[in-house]
Amino acid sequence: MDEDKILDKEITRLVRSLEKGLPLGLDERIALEASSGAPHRRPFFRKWHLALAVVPGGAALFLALFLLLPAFRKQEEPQITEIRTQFELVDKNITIIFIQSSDFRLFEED
Amino acid sequence: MKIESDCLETSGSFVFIPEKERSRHRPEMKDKEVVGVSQAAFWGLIEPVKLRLYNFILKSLNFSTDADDVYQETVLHAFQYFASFRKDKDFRAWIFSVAHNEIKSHFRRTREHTAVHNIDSLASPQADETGALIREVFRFAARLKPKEREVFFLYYESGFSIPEIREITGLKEGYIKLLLSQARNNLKEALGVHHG
Repeated sequence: MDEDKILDKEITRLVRSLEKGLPLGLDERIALEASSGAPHRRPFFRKWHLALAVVPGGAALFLALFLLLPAFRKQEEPQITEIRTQFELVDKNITIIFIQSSDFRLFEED
Repeated sequence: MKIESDCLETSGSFVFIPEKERSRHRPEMKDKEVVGVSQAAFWGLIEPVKLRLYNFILKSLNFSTDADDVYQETVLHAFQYFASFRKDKDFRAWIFSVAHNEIKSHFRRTREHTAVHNIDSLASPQADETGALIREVFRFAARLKPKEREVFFLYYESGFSIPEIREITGLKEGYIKLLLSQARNNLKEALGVHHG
């Protein structure tokens, strides 16, 4: 236990022997920002990191919209362009097909 | 070191006046003035601890230049939330817990261990045996994980006790003791080698 205390004292001495003072102007800069009253802004490098996050965020949003939009788009109702009616006379091996289509020109000559 | 947040500076010393009684003591005091007094109290309280605080942050960040930003964020956040500082708490421990949170979010943000500064250049003024020992200690600290390094410097640099470190970091006492014991064992060997 005593050995630990001696070692602790020695480590503390060594750790504290390397002490740096506050950089010039840092205190003034903090005081100025604090006194401005506005909520303080993060240093530039952090905003820069935030700006980077916008790129993948925007890409993810674009992808989500791209995938989800077709699901919400109203599907067009199918249009009937042709009606086929088919009869089969099996014993006579005959198949009759009536085709009704919109562009069928009745009584018209070519 | 217990200093109260709601204190008034009177001839260089701080006198605590409970919130309820503040108006009775100084009935002419308006809200703006109370804020002014509170702000003045903050700067008064931080003055004696700022050098230790800065060195703790600097060493916890392996002497990175980001330490200036983290220190600035710590002080500004502490200033911003000074009203939430409980009067029965130790201001020094409180502001170090703010610093702890800032360091934690710094490492979370950077997602990497801060680049280790050239340790050899740090203790250059002391080129003798002490200089070598200092370099040995900081080289050891640089190898620790950020959380472990914080505990190491809270104990050896800032002089906090184990219960205080528990309060600041939220770590369990047993874990703190284990970390310090491991540090001691590692350094005992390293320092022993240099003692020859």
